[in-house]
Amino acid sequence: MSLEEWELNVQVENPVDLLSLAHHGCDLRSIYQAQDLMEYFNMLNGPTYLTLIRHF
Amino acid sequence: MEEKILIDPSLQGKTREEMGLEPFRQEEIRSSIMGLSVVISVDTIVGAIRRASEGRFVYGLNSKKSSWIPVVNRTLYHSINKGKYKDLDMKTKVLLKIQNENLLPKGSGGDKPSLDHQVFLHLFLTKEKANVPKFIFRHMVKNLRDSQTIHKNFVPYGRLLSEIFYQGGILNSLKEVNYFTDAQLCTVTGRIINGATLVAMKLIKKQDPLEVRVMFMKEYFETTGKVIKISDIPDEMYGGALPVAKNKKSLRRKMTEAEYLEDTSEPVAKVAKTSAPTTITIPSQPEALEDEDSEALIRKRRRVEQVDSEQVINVESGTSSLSSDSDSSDFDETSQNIIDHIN
Repeated sequence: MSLEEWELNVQVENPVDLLSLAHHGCDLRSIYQAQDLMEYFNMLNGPTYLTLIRHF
Repeated sequence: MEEKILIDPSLQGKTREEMGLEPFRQEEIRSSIMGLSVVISVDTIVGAIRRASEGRFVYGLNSKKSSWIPVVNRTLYHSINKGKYKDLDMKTKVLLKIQNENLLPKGSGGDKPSLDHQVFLHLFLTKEKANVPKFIFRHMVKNLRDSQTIHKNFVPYGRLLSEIFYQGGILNSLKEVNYFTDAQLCTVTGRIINGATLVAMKLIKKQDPLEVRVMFMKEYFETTGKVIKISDIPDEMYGGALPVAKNKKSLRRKMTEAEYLEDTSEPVAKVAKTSAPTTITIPSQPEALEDEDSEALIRKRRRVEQVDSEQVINVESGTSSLSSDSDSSDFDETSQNIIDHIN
């Protein structure tokens, strides 16, 4: 028995608004800068293609 | 759905070349989308998140007896013993949330991180460089394994995979042949983690911004003539949650087979809808003319009706949609004739 395409539950990453978090007293930017991950969070602001991922 | 995961070449006594597979270079996830092959390795992820694969990497730790436990406990909970979620401070909680949803996605149980998750968090907190691409890749492999062995229907890294497809030129080639639109690809974006999330996590108190309070003071002065201080106004004037503010996290309903097929067969349904009205209007046209009383017109109409009925029979006997289309264009001409006769 294998999973069918339509049963897959694709988990979509949530974009993070670091500026808004920092404004509310939760500044995580230095932590992610230390990890070189700022580009990653920019990347998260793009579309996700569910069908393609189900096919994958 | 096709997932091939070739992690360990484990067929005994045979090299990969003998098995007819590509030589083993590095750990890779191989798959194909509509005939285009996709290979995901650590390097692919490095390209997608634009960050070198360097730094510390620890994964698959034994959660009972690992030398990491005391180290992690000290940074996370500021104590030697294992703490609980409520012992974490605010930044750590938010970090953990972002980690659970983005970097190392978890299906559930976000407030009880595994040791792997804790170590990852520890590296972030101490600003020691962690090998993020490798972490992500290992996590992806683990989830693929789970989907094949224990049939978890959980696919992480939706956005990351999309980015990889995009950079690999798959989307371009699919769009070139006009095979997919955004709607057919089910384009979605995730919820944004921002200040509102902090409120939802009960980490900060919700309060009305300063402008709202100043406006309230002005209005109060105009209506009553009394001056009130800003400290007299409660932080939160409207106590109840706004209907829009409700943002309960609910697991997405499972997609059924019928829904899935419906999604893909949309264009076909549209064709059927457009062809349907032409066949319906054919018999209704003569009825619209019944208000006319003059005999000459009726005679003419009968003649036309005969033609019409022939047309209807033609349409009804026609099986393919193309033939009905040509018939309906003929019918347009005959209806034009009717109108001419009446005038």
